[in-house]
Amino acid sequence: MDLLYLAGSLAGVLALVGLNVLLLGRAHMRLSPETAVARLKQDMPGFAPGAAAVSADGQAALIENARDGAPWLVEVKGDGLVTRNLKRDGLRGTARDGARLALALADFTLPRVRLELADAAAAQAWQAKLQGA
Amino acid sequence: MQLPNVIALATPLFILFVVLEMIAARLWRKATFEPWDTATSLLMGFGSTVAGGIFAFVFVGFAALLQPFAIADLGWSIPVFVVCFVLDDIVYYWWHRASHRVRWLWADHVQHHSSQHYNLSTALRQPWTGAFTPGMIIRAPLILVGFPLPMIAFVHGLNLVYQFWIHTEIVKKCPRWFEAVMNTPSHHRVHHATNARYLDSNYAGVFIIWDRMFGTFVAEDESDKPRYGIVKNLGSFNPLKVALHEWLGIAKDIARARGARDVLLYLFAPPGWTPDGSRDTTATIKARWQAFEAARNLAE
Repeated sequence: MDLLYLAGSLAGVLALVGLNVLLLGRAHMRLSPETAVARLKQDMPGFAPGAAAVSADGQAALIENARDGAPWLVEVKGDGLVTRNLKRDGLRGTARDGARLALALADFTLPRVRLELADAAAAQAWQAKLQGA
Repeated sequence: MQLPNVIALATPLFILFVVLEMIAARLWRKATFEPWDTATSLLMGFGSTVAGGIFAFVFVGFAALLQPFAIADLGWSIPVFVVCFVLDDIVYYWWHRASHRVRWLWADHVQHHSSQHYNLSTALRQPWTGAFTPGMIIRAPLILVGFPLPMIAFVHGLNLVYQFWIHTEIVKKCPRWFEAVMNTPSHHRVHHATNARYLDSNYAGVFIIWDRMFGTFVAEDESDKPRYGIVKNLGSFNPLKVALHEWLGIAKDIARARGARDVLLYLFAPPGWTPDGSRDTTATIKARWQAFEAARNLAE
């Protein structure tokens, strides 16, 4: 294995990713409450949607499971979704600035999530809900 | 006897077929690609090659250590090649099954399953950390029986090359006789799916008959389209995080363990095991899904 081989392989990776963008474009997914709920119902059979809030940029949502009150996070990742049970999966803390809510998670691949909710009151209500979870 | 590195020889074809599948995705929308996901898969493949080169001494050393204890020297002939290929595939089945059921092995294998896409680039999403698992022990019988080491490496390479083409959504079903005997895109889509009904199934490499024999075969159900990835999908496309996340999880759990029993179970129990049962294993996910389905059927 020489440096030329490694450099050639990396160039090949770049070329293939470039071709992917050229042929198929980039993902521009925006979450709706319906999409988020549909995904949670797949991940957690019996999930019963309660209160929900989608970030203004459509990249993340908070949804409560009415069955047990657990708040769930749904986040867009590429053209896929990532879900976390914030009651169980280690929410480290929250910070709020007006309508903006920042979540810190004990999660190596998803340490931080930022949402901009409808208004400061909504963000405050969700922060209280998350802190109580 | 000198045998070629079949994976290195096949790499240009791998690239060609990824390009063709992207073109097919563009023309007929029968496959999906996402640039970040594709980049991660390809960089994982690149990193796996590098890691394989760096840590080759572990595998070579292990094989050299065992070889003097081989009970026979089976030599080189076509029948021995064929038997070696078939036995390597059985060994692959058990290694693969263990890789889903033992967290220490899963920490390596999860890297291959971490994409939410299922296309030919996913086949190249290969783990970096195999040298740090006890997985090679499962391969020991082939060495101890007396197959030549280059032959074992060669047939194993063929096995992996075969598995490339089954990572696609473009091929729906193959002829019935082929689906009955061989691992196919349909069978392997089931293996990569996170739908509860599909979890822990279809571990085959080349021949699907091992799953049929050992009770792990599940057919693809057209009414339940596979959803790909892992039960707790990753929040990052960073290849380093993909490669290390489960190792870090194990380290954290072991650091908090209350005794030797817990340490052993964090390493050898199925992924998701905890002393208090607070996380999901595939068994709990399946049980919850079955209970939900049963309740729904009763309500209907």
